[in-house]
Amino acid sequence: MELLIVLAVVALLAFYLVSVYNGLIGKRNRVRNAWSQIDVQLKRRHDLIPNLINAVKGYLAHERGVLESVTRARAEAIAAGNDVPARAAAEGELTRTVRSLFAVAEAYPDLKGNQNMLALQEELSSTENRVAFSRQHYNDSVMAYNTARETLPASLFAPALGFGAEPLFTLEDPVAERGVPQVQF
Amino acid sequence: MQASEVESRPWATVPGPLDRASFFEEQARHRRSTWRLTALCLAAVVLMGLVVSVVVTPLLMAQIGITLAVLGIVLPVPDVLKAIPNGYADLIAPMMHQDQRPATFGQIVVGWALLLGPGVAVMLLISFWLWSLFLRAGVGGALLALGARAPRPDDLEEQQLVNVVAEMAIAAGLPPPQVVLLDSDVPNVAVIGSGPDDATVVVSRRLLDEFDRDQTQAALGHLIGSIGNGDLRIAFAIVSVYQTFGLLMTLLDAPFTGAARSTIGRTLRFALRRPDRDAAGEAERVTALFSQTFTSARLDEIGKFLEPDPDTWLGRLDQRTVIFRGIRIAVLMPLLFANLFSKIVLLVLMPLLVGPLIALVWRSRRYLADSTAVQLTRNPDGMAAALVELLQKGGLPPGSKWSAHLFVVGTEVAREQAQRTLAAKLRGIGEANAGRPLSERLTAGVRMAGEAMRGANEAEAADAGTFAEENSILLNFHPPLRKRLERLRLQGATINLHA
Repeated sequence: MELLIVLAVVALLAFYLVSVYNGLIGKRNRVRNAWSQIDVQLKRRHDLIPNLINAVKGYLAHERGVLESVTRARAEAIAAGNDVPARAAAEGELTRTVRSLFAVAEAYPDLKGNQNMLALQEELSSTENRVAFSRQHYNDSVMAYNTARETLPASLFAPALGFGAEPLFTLEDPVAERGVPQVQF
Repeated sequence: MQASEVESRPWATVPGPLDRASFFEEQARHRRSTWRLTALCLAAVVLMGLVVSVVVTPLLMAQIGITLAVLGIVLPVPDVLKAIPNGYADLIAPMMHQDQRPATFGQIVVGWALLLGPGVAVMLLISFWLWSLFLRAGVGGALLALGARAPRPDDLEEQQLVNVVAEMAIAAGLPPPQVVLLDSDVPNVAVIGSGPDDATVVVSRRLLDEFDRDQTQAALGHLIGSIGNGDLRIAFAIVSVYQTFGLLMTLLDAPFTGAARSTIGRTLRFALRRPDRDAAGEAERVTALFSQTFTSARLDEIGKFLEPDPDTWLGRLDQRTVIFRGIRIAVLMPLLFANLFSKIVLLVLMPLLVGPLIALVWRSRRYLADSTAVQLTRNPDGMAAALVELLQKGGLPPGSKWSAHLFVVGTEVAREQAQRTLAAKLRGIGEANAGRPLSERLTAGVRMAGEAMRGANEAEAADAGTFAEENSILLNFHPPLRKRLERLRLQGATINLHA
């Protein structure tokens, strides 16, 4: 009888530990998947930019400088590859140049009312949102994973089984990225 | 912003809460309440199943015995078959005669197992069969039959909607659901399907005209959050509880009414046909037929079986040979008892016990989806503003009442609107007659009473045809909007209704 009770307790304990372990695995995979989503969205933005340039270059013949800076920023972002700090900086630069392109386009009434342009603008701003939401999802997943990893009982065995902490996605240069708006009259 | 603009907005700005809760805390709270309520709900369903089993099983055994005995008059029935009902009676007999000789423990166990076992087994079989039959269809399929169409690629607003859906799906880490539009003039939005992989968002076109991007995002965040929380599966489970009892009763109705037989036929045809575009819609229509078993029309039909109209063939036969009617009723008596008794049990327990618990489970999922929308959009005001707008202008597209619970707001909105119109009308009559002679004021009083009754009827009619109403669930499946706004305020929303 005692043996049976001991066996039952051991079985329950094992079952519990397996479910904790599986939970950690699930959460870690979620984190990895979320990370790849960010890349997917950044890629989507890179693919949209040539369309944008094509749509506006007829109207913005006199704004060659802006167009070139967008093209250059895109090329740099692609070239940065998987080097995270460089990539983050390049993507930040791309965001800024695209914004300035739209600001310039405001001055051309033909372009502002152009259906094609409006659709592209929507696509790009949606892409910006997607990038932001995929980062948010990544950080939420990391938080769930890290919390699970660092709380009992997982914290007793997680490091030994190779469950390392995952980093949160933070901006390289928060002050510059948050960009206190410069208002001038 | 101009003062007049602030006046014309349907909401008021309120100070933030002192006891603010994070959306994660809020979600944990509603998840816990779902668990508690689901446990209660399961207990209630099991209790109901046991009560029905304990009555139906012996009666069905008696029915088998009588049928075999009657058949035995004209056909040779093997003794083995005849032995089944007798053996059954012998095995449960010791429990029935406890005063003569106390039953042993073994006899009691066998007796209860025989009393409950067959009924429970049949019900489990029915529910597994229905589960496998309808799971692919999921819930809400009938909404697609209301003229749903794909978004137009040349319509910027509709493309924006597709983008918003994709954004929210990314925020929730889900595959983007399909988007279809209904050209209806009441803003609302629902989610249908059977799970994250085949979910479809059904948006009323009017929503896009009325809502700004933040509000659309919040309403879709609510629905996509609800997909991620597994609500489609829960909705399906809720429907299948009703389907199981509904089909069981339809089977018990089948010997007495043609309508029940045709429902069974339609279910079998559905089971045999190949899945096609309208399968989900047909699934929903078949489900709706099951609940017909509890209508008074069905009871009338059973009455007609006992006492048929003289101009039907059964009636003419009864009049010619009086004895025929006696035999017919006597032979089917156990089945008739089983039918009526379990109907009474279900009619009492479903609305009083199971229904309200189910509605409360679903309400806790709505609060959970609200706080998931806050998590996805990080904008409690977006969700609050969307709810306030829907309270003013929202409603259910024509024909979608059955699926009201799958929308972001349901019939509670129409009720609220009817009450508001009534209050305004009464105030109008009162103000117009203030200071008039007594006789005029009395007439006005009578008019007000008439308006009040009409208003109450209108509010009542708002619920007609919903899944809840058709199954006599008196609680609305959506929480009151005021309470939802209150929970959002705790999560940081600064928007609320005008006091």
